[in-house]
Amino acid sequence: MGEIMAPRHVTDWVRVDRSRTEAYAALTGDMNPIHLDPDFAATTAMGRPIAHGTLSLARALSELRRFVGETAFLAGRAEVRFLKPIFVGDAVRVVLEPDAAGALRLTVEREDGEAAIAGSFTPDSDKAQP
Amino acid sequence: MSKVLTFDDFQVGHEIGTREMVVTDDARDHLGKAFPDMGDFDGRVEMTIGMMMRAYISIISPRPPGNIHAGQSLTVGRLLAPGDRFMARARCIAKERKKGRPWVTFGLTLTSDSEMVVEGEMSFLWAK
Repeated sequence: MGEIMAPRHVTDWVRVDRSRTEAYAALTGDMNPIHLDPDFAATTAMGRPIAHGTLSLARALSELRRFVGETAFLAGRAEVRFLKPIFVGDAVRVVLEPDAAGALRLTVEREDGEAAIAGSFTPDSDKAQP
Repeated sequence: MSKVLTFDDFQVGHEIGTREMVVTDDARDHLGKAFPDMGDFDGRVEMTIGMMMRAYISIISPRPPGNIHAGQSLTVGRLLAPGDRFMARARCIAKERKKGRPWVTFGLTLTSDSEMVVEGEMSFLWAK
């Protein structure tokens, strides 16, 4: 297994606003009203619309590709858990940091410091070139 | 419209469905609005994940409202771009009740010209 030797990488904050959420719904076909309809969302446990988790995951994986390089990105496996909701209007950032096992910890953080998405990327070759 | 898919409908090891799909020019427009800060980067990771989700939405349907996407693992073998055609295949690879709550894991595979695009596993707390 390849190892990723690089410093911690933190992106700028990006606000996951209604416009992004609506466009991502159109891209994926996921028109669940929990993402798009404030009145519906108000009737749920969430209370307000939540962004699609994979919208932020896609951004995190894109950042990962830049960080490790395309060859390593295409040779590895990512595993994440969606831990906390990202509400429409929240700002998030991506944090990538090598761990002791030679993999990368991948986190999407909310402004309140909570990890909304967390997991790891494990390279599958010796091709990582951050 | 067919019956909503419930936890009891899924059988471990069984294929749920397949779709031939294409990355349309509309998808490029939606991608640009969903990720307006891509700069000069090509957005192909975002497009590939977007198409993986489009395949899930298309094949595993209709779904009950209230499912929670709790976990995702994936390997990307090739990145998609507008104009690419791909085949999506979904199957149930695990299901169990934990503390009475129904958990389902789907395997979702996207291939294009016999090349692997995405091999993913998606875990859901299923609503019904």
